[in-house]
Amino acid sequence: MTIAARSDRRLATCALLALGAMAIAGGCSTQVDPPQFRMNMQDILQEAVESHSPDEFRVVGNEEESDKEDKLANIAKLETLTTLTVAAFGEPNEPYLLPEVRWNAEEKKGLDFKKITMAAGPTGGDDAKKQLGLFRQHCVHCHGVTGDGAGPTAAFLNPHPRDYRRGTFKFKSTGFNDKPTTADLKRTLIDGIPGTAMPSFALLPADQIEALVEYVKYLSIRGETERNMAGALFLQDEEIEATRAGILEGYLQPIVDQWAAAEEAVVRPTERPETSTPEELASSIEEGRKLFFNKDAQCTKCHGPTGLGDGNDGMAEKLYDVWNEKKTADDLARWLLPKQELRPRNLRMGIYRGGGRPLDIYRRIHAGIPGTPMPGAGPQPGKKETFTPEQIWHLVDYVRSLPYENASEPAEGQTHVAAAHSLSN
Amino acid sequence: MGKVWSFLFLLVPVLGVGLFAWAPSNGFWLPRDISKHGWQIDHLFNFILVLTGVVFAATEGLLFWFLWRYDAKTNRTPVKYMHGSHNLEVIWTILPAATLLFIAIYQMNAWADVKMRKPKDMPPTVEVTARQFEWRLRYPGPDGKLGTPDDIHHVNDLHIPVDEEVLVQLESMDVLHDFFLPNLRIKQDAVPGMSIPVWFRATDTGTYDLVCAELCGWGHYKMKGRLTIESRASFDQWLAKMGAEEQATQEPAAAESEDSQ
Amino acid sequence: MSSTTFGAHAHEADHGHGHSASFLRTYVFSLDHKVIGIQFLFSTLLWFVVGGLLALAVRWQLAWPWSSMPIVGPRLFAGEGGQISPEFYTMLFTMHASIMIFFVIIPILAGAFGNFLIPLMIGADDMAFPTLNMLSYWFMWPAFVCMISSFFVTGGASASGWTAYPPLSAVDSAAPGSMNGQTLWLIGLILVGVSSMMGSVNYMTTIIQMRAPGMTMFRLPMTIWAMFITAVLQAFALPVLTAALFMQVLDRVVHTGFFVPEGLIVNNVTAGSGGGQPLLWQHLFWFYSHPAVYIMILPAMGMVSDMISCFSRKPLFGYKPMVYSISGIAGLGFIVWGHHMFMSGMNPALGMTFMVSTMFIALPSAVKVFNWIGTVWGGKVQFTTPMLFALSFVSMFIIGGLSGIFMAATPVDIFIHDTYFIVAHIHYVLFGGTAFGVFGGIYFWFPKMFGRMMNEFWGKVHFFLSFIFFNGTFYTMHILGVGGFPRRLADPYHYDTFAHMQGMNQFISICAFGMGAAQIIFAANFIYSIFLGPKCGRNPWHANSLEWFAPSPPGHGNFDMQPIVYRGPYEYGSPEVDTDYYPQTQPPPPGSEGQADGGHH
Repeated sequence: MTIAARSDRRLATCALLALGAMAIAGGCSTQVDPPQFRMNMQDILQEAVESHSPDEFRVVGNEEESDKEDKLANIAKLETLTTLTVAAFGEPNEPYLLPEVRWNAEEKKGLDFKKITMAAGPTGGDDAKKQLGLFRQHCVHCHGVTGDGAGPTAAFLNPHPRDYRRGTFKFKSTGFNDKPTTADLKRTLIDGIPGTAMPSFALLPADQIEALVEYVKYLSIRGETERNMAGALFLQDEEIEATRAGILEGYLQPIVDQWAAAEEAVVRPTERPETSTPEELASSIEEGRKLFFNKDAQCTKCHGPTGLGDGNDGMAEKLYDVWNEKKTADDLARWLLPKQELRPRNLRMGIYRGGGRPLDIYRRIHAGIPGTPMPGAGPQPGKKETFTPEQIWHLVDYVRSLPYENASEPAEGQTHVAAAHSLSN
Repeated sequence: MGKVWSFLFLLVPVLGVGLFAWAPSNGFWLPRDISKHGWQIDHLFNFILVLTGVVFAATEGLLFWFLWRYDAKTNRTPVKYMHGSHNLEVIWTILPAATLLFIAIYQMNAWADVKMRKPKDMPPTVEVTARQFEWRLRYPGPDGKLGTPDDIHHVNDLHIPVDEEVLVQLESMDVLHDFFLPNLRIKQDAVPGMSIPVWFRATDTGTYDLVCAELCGWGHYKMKGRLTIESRASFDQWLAKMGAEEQATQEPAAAESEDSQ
Repeated sequence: MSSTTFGAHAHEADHGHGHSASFLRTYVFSLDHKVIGIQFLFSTLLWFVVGGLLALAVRWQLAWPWSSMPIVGPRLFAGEGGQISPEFYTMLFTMHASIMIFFVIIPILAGAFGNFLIPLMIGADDMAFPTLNMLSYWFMWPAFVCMISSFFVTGGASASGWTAYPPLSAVDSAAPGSMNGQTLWLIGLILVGVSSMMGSVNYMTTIIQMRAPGMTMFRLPMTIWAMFITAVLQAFALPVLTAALFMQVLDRVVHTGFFVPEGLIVNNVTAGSGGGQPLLWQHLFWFYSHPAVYIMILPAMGMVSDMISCFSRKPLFGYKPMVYSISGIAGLGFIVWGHHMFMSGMNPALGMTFMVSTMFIALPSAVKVFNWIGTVWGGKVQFTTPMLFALSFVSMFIIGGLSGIFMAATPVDIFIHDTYFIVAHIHYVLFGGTAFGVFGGIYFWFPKMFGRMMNEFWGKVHFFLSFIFFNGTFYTMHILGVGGFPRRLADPYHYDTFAHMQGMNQFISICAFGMGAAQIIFAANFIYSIFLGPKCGRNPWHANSLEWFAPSPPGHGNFDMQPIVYRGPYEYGSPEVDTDYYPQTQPPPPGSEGQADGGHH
């Protein structure tokens, strides 16, 4: 046997071994654990544990006996919480819903479980080429598997993607304290949110959009239930009855009822005052301008006298929404996303996150924007109104005229009638 | 073995031409052209394809034949001891040069039609502003002018009238994007700080894709738009409907019924 | 002559260095051009693996979007079930291209082969500036560390494509990878540029000043001509890129706004002072990067010319036309950069001008192809592994060159710009062209580098599999491109126009994995042969040029006898001698007339 032939054989063995090793390594590593819903540790730690430290859930071994007991109790509570949420909602690859909260056509409430399964799970299609795993295909890199707004891409977005778990949604047709309607969420998906990273999904088929909306509701209800149960366990130090009835009546059903009630709580404004002629429009705008500078309304405090959104520029106190206000720099590591300042909207950009229709702006002014310092000015249950519906309409006209108005004009003491004339021609 | 290796090199032109012959009848080809100018591009593409195809087959075939013929194992004729041929060099410089010059001149008109001969005295049909990661559209309202309060805003869903010259004013709000209409043979980068006119005339109705073809960030792949080409009448109707919706002061009736599942 | 060992301490004394060199000085911070060349070779092959794995990751996502990516998925994206994020995809293709272009193709040609071959082929004992040479290698590692560490900083690696078009690259808030990763990317490239510039100056000086007696410019092998022209291209184009890179660093760090227009708001963050123009970057970048594509192919063309002539046992057809066409490519290479920008919003009249110059740069390439084929004609072709790779270079370069004409035709470019047609084209030139040429070069010069032969059988297996899978991967991409399939989309199949192309993409990906696996054979052959390959003499291929006159491997100072050059390097089958080769150093037999210069007779 020649040297060359022998080295051939040795080489062949080497190559085969290497190929085999690659194949095994490749094969093994495709095994992935199914993803899990992430526990809402931010809220739990913030609200329940004084030291705000995840160490409260970890027994190291060198604690004092009393501390150790506290920790063990905390760990037990956490386990209860996990068990209960998994029992009530399943896991990302296998969602579950208690039959009591599934869609009930007669009472018009509950969640459509079929739509949820269409949106849940890993991306792909079934045998009938029906698209499944929609949420993970379209939403997960921003909103995260849990819907906590902390997907892999989230940290770089401004503003951060919405964390559904508070059950708080900014842009909706209902009152300040109400949930959004299904149509509101659908509208957000279809139009996107201009001025944010939320794109428009207008081109998805209607059934896919509906499935995604239903899944967002599911994630929101799951998150809010978990949050409320955590509050009960850690803050009120209550026991939660680990039965179907215990979860259902104590926590789940009320939230599902709120979602159902939202459908009936849509804000329907009164007829808009007539603005068909340029003169009428101009006087409505002028009326709105006065209201904008009205002391009670305090519009200028945040949006600034010129509407540029610079009202609180240079103020010591910065503005934050509820998703950010509790974050502090010194325990940043615990927060999945850095703290973001809230900027009042620049009204001269012509970009309206909640929609640019007069109706949308009316609702923003009427009901305010939940989760932010923007208050509702219209009549609301348990709150004195700042403006009458007619006044709100004037404000709407004024706000909608701002993008077309010269910002360098002095804000006060000059009539805008002339400007309005030229606009409406 | 030399013959076997020669055949490997013969496979290149055979399969190469074969794949291009197979593709059109199996759904892999230029998307259907529905533009007035597109035939020039397709014609030029086919022209160059045939031309390069011939050169490709000839040179690769020649390479194969020389490898086959002059395989050291079987070739008994002595090596041609030569350092080149002046005449051949001149021929194979001048021939391709003339061909390339011809292609260069031949294509100029098509390029000028698509990118240089902007329709005169025509207001933009629509202003397309690209943004991470969507196409924001602004149509002039009833007053026919952009930048007035009656403008009609829309996202991703571009409608244009058929059989009419369409002028798109292309802008970008943040980074580079690219306005790519495969069926209309239109592609143009959207550059922040620039307003670039794009014009075309569609010859058929239907819905088609609007693609972002310039990397614009993590969501580049989802920057999808839809182009709807329709008759002038239904375009006007659609525009009026959009305009009315945008001025809505009450929830439209249709949406109400959707509300209650 | 006795064969000498690698490193060749025996020759130290002859060269009057006096002191015995330490291990560190001999193998790590060596000043010897051969050691530096081999260091470049090992490093670039290692980076080739990194770049290749990134490409396979890209292919996985394109074949099975959003499914769990092997190895990467479970480790980085466990929370999402192994599904990668879209910005990670943009980082994958950005870093694949950046590493392949700036860390593999350019340094393996100029750094590895340039360093190893230039002094040997011109008959010099080393480079003109050995310390500069060593520094040029050691600038590559910090550059690579910058690049690869960018994966681990906040925001991840650069995600704006290897072309780094601003504002996406210049504005922090535009993309996750445009945070620290982009700055590291820029610094890495600046360091690569410093390395290239040091090499370039060194090569030009060495080739002009240090040729052996009798080695006139027109007796240089094509490899050296190509290296020379490449060095000139580098020297003229690189300063522009370096300036552009510094400008982008300044844009990012102190917000100078060279490339950022006024009043830009990205991701709700105001992007600096503005006042700049995004197109400026494209002009500056392509002013370098278009010549750079010739930097990436000319040396391979030179090496291939040498291999084809040697294994056809026949003089190179049209030596001087070859030299002129390389020079022509270099000259024209500086006035065609605008053809990357036909769709950029640049003045369309300017586009037409660039179209004409671009059409004509195809001409010298065509002349070269005809000359290679002319070289094979009438020869005695030996199908060795290096010859197979060299022939495949020609065969693939024909495809890459012809597909370029489609893009040069501006109206056609409207449709195929930024589609997979472009991806196919660049890979036919850079992989089917340069990388195959490099593989051939490794098989060809391996005996000179290490004194041992690589295994022929496994070399041919490697060639066969690479060739088949390469064409399977990239030829089909032309078809995707004709269908309009766009580049750089993480999930193209939600467009109706492209939905039916997933099957073809899966085929492409499987071929790509096959091509990746075939390189294991090469790696095994390469490593095995360094230690256990059969030993060889000085001139195993019976080639003419000067490096084969030196021992294998050459000792310190290269030549044990002063080479004197009598003729050009391509005198195969000369009637003057009985052998079918006629080394440049062999004195002509008494009474013979005229010395072949390799020019026309």
